[in-house]
Amino acid sequence: MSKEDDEAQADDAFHQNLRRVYRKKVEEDVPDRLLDLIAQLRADPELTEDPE
Amino acid sequence: MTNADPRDAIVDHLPNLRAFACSLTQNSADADDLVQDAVIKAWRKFHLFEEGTNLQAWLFTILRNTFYSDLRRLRRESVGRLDDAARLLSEKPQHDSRLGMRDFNRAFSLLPPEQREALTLVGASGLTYEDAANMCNVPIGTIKSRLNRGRARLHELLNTETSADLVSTDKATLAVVTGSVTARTTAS
Repeated sequence: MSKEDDEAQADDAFHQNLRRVYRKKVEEDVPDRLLDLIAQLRADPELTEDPE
Repeated sequence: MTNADPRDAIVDHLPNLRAFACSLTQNSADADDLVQDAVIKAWRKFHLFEEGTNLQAWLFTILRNTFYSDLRRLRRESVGRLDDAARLLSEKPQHDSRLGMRDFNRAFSLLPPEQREALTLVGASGLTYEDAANMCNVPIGTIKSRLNRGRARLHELLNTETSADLVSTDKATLAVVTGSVTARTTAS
């Protein structure tokens, strides 16, 4: 097998791992602090004002 | 009947925002701080979002702009990172049939953020080159180039030449995307 083939295989393996791990992170529960933030933003109009 | 706030849709994108943020910050806690800042900005600027366009791409753009804005303020740290790169290159990688998690994590974290971003967006989140280019406001060729340079740099830092070197690197890759704390809790 050529060096190019080896590198291409290594790149594929790397991407597969990245995808799998990204997916795992996506499937994690969202921390309460972020959900609380959304609730706060919904409830408080002052927080939602664009300062610019 | 209640009037749903269109901004509520942001909640659906929190998981992807966290995953993308982790790949940029290399740290779960910092990633959630980054998501928090980006969500506040998105909420306030939602009137600028064009209905019918890709909300996730719009949110990712806000998140990455926030990240790079913060990064510019922290540029002084780059000297230390260069020292780390030099040390890593001078050391032999851990090669007991697989890459050491720490080596891999360090190598990925030593890539410039633009390369980590390209690898994550195209290689992990499944965006097309075109979407990633639009999001980063660069030509498609630039995204491809960052991707290639990121891979080449990883090979260089890790001294990997065959796919066998990358077998069983889930733990390492987990550390790359989620930060070392999460990796430790899931690696067993």
